[in-house]
Amino acid sequence: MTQPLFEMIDVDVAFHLKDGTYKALDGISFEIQQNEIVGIVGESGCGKSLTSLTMMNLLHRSSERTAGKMRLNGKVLNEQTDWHQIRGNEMAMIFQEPMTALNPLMTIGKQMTESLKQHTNLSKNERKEKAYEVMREVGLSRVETLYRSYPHELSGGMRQRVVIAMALINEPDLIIADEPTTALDVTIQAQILHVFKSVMKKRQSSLVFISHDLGVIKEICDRVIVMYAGRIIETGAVEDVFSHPKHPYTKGLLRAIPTYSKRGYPLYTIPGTVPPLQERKNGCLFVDRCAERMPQCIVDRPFITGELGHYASCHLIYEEDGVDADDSARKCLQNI
Amino acid sequence: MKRLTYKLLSSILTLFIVTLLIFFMFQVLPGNPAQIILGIDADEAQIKQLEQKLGLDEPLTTRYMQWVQGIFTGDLGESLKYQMPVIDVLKQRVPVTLALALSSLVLTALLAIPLGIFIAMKQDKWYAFVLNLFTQLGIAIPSFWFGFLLIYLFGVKLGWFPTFGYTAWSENPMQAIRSFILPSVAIAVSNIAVVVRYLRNTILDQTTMDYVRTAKSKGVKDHQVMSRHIVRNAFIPVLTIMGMIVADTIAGSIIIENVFALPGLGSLLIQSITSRDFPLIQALVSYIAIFVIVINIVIDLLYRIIDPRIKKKG
Repeated sequence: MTQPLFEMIDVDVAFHLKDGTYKALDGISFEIQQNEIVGIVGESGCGKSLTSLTMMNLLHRSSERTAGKMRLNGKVLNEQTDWHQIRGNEMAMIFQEPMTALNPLMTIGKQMTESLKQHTNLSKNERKEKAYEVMREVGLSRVETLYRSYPHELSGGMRQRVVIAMALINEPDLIIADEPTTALDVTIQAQILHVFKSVMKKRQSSLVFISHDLGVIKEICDRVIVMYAGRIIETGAVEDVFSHPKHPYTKGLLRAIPTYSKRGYPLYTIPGTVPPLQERKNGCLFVDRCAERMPQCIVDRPFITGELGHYASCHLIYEEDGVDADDSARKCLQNI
Repeated sequence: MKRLTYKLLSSILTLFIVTLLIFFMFQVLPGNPAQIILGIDADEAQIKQLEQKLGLDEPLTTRYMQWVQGIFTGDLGESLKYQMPVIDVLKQRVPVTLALALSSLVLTALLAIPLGIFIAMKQDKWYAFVLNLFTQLGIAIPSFWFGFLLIYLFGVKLGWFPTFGYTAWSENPMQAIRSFILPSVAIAVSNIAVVVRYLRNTILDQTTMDYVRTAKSKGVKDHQVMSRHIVRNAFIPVLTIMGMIVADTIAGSIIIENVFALPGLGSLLIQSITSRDFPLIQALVSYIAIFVIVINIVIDLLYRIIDPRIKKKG
């Protein structure tokens, strides 16, 4: 097996709140291969964005990575790592809000070339040319004018293209896009997704695409990670997860997608809400909302298990397959 | 451009209202100037004669027009106390106040901006906490008290600076600078405290903004994120405070000039009021008002330089 581009192994992230310290990410493990698009999906507060911020070491002051390892191209990433060298160079990030993600007082050109200035020895003119090139690549026109413009002079879609171009400019190996299309209207959203797909294919770089929109994930991702309450509950190739979801939560999410054939029927919703940070106990965290819950779900945390790259953490899977949970978990860990 | 035109028009309107208020306030004040000049022994004829000479017998509107014209041409009549043209009295005093205001402003800018940034960057450290406490004190302590303290410490005890009075620049530049240091510091202290606190808070507000995270995600170093991104954004609201401080400095100098016995506009204003020198008071108040209005326009222009969003909104 080739060395994965990025690995996260058993990572915990804790929030230091007034009344104590709480785990917001709990044993997150995944890897991203070269030239792969991985989607992370889940409802608000499940830890999607937190995972992306952890990858970039951009966690807010009140939170902290308390356990686990991360590796990029085999290099261990920790507190001693020169993150300024990695950010914007080997890993780049695209944020959710194109309206606020840009500095209002700085021209587009200045902001675009900032990371080139940081990471390369290109001259001012070379940086400019490079910026023009990437801006055209993401489908922007009149780039010379745009280069001199300020963010407020651009529409939301244009700004998001700029933000994408900004992340691409240094040709990073891995791009993390945190809900890059959520703040945009549907037509613009489709255009931006198209940009993503074509650019990633051309560049052969990897992408982590975070979204709460399963439709979008299905559209562009190779593999998907489903998160719930700070844990990964299912992961696998997009076709597998979408056609044969294993975890009741994933099944629920898929049922809740509005489609044309469901027209006229009330839309399915998963009852209940994500348990708050303070009330996360040992067992399965989905248990209160699960229609298929069993006694052991309340006390035992299900291990992530499965085969052929499709894994889920649910006691139902042990029942169905008749596998020994411990054995399966061991196998699984070996795989990772 | 629309915004600038609007600003100018509203400034002219403000100026009109201010002059109107100043002029008519002195009309309704009890006491006839001619009577005051001549003393209580003067007879009716003498008063009439002087009124005619001073132009007091003309209708109000004509006198108002003449007076407003005078503000711009510099012909503001004679000071009753000094027996010389008001404009000449002002000419003697303006340099003192201007020098005092300018030096205290420079002091404020030079100290407050780096200090504010420093405290914001080191907000978790104990010394940032202590400095923050000091700014609270700086705001609470009145400047005249601070003036006395400075006179006592550096003038009386240590003898480093003159305790009062003023040496003209033309006489002895070194001595002139020395005589300005203590009063400038006295005015600057509370201003520094205000700016530091304000700048610290706006910087901390900006630190959590999305664009800051974007900059960090590009690999920009922390100090560059601060200097290139945060400080410029944090400076927009601080500019408003700075404008208010400039206007305040003139008011502040009224007290401080008296504490340090400096012959500036501030002490002149007090003297002119106690001696009921109406032409002088009117001129002083009008010019101070004009100064504040001009500062407002300047601040507005500075906004346009810093913030590109204003130009487009027009």
